[in-house]
Amino acid sequence: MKRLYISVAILFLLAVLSAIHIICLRNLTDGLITQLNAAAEYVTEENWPRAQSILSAAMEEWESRALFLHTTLYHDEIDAIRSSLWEASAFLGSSQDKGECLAVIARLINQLELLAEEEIPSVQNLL
Amino acid sequence: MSVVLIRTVVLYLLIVIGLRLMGKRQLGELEPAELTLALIIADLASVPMQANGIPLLSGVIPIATLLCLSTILSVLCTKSIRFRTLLCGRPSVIIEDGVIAERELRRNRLTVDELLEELRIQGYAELSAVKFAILETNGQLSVLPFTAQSPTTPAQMKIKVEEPGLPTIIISDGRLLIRSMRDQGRDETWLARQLSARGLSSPEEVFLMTVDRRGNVFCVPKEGVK
Repeated sequence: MKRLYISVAILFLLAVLSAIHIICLRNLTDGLITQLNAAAEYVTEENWPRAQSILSAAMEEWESRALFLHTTLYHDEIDAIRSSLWEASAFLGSSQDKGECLAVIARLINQLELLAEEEIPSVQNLL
Repeated sequence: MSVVLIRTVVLYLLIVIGLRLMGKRQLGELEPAELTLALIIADLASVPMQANGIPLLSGVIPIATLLCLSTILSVLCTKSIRFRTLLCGRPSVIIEDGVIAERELRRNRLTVDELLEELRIQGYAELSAVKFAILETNGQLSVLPFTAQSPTTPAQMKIKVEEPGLPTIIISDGRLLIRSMRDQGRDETWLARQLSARGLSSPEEVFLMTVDRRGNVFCVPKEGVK
């Protein structure tokens, strides 16, 4: 019976950790999406320094969670988002093309939403 | 490459420890659920071993989950006969009192050729010698011959024989297992006497030595030693 209890306890612990992971990831992506939306607004107003500053903050936050992200998610997806962040930063810094910047930010927001969504145990994901 | 190396070691140790904790040591006698588990675990472990871009947890969590589920199922099997029957099935009597149960053969999708093949593997070339043949839940065929076809036992011949003891290894590849020796009620003095009687001077010269409770000693010196 000891093995039964230990096995059930481990399964329960894994379930709890999975739930915590979903919450943490959701908080991270929601926070980044909020920042990116704010950056997009500043891009629309052509306030490039402010947009760049917010984007830099978003990149710093993303990098600060590197260990958590690389331990729990596929590296391809993480690298894709990282590349998009650098791409957006490059567009803001150099070309300052409103259309291009907004497109990159929109793509980035979509990637972040998908990243969090695919960890949720929805019917769509399970099937 | 070092990442692949470390991941392989981690996953391999996880699987070995996990399967060991489950308590199964022989793959050949796995129940269907356990065989499935072994196959799935092998596949789960191989993917993160080779692909650096996949987090180690992608292999560890499914493996841990499967091991826990398997342990839960095996404990439930020991507690409930009904559950055990549901999960593992029941043994099927393929031959009963020397008569082939065709219905059981069909139910288990076993052909006559396969049956005869399995009987031959077990040393029964004549079907007429087999009283019972039972297809166990792990797929093995247990064969019980007619008494007249079985080897005669000393009891049947009314011959009294000594009961052998269970041999315990006390020297293995030159290494003396003191605890095993003491468990058999022997000491170093006795060992020295045994080695001397065989022209040996130390345990390092011995490849294998066993002794049982009756004092029967079996000794194999190492190659190159007289």
